[in-house]
Amino acid sequence: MGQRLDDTPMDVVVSGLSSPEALVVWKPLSSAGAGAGGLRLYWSDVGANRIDTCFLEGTGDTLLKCGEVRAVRSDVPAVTGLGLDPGSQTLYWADSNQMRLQSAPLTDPTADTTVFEPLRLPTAIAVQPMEGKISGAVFFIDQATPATLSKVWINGSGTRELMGGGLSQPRAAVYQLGACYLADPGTGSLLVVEEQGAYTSVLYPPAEGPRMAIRPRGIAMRDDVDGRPGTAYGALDSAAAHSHAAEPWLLLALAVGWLGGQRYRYTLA
Amino acid sequence: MSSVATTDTIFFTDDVDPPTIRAFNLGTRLITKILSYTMTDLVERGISPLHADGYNRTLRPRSMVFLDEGEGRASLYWADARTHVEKRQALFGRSCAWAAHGRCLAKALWATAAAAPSKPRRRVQAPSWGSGSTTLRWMSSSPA
Repeated sequence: MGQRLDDTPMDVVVSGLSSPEALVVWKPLSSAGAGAGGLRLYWSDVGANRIDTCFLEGTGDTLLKCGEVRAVRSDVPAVTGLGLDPGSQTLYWADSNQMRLQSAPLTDPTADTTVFEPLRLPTAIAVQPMEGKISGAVFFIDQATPATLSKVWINGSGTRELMGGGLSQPRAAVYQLGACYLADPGTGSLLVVEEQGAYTSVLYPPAEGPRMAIRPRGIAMRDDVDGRPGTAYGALDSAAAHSHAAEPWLLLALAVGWLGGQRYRYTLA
Repeated sequence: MSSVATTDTIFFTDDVDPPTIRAFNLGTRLITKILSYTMTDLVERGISPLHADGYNRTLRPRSMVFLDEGEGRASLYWADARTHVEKRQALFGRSCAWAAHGRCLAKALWATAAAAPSKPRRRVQAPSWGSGSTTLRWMSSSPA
């Protein structure tokens, strides 16, 4: 062992799975409505052709662990990406067997809908939640050569390729505050792509100076700053203001991209 | 001892030997090691080191999520596929069988100072931008 986090060691939350691949957490919003329940994990088990879920149980003073594991779907053989929209209570997944992006309401996971197809070799997705009348979107990584990051609006109004070069083997994506963050173990890098593709940037490794070799396979971020879902304003305030404070052209590009994106998203919604 | 801001931070599973969980701070552009784990760690938690077919298992950290539990607590959850290397190579084939065996999800819980009040701590301030930034701390003496 040798690793403890405030005296709370790493622990196994659930075992006996076949081959868990994609993982998302469900944290109900106060306005999520009936059936929101408590904290839940959802994961794909590609060895068992399933998407499973469990409630996280515990007092809060101890590690929260899985209660009873329940199959959400047992007929999905190769789910490599999972995402949740807490507002619409919708589950999204990338099926690398059927080569498509699908969704289903949490209240009826069998009522699936194809969001986008065909995919070539999807490895990860990230969900940009719906905000009022503004359509949400799903970012998806397609691992085929060349690897790409694209975005499909949830209302079915369009798709856009955001990044088509500079990726080797991207494996993970997470959306936060107007940007999609990527992990590429092929190049050992962490990247950020503005939600409209207005800019991309390699966050790590640095262009110069000391660096370490990494193989990032899964990435996670706190999904909000103050308990609310991320906003595009937050992207301007956060990603540009401090991550790229020394690059004013990038701030301008981000602002223009964001404004254009808002118009586009309103048009689509 | 070290600490990390939960805002403006990318947490990631590092598929190296041994598997490692790291944090990348967007402001400082520095990577911090949170923890690493070995098969021995999981065996101590009841996980068999062998697959059902007798093969040795291999640790392969995969997808990760961040969960803010409120009251200053936050957790990271991640999947460890623990596949055979030779079978892992089939992972990206279109018709692959995704053959693999007993897996687990591992969790590391970060708690507030109240969880371990007797330990000396060094607080690292969260970035000053944005509102509501919080800093969670844990015991870890290893740098990245």
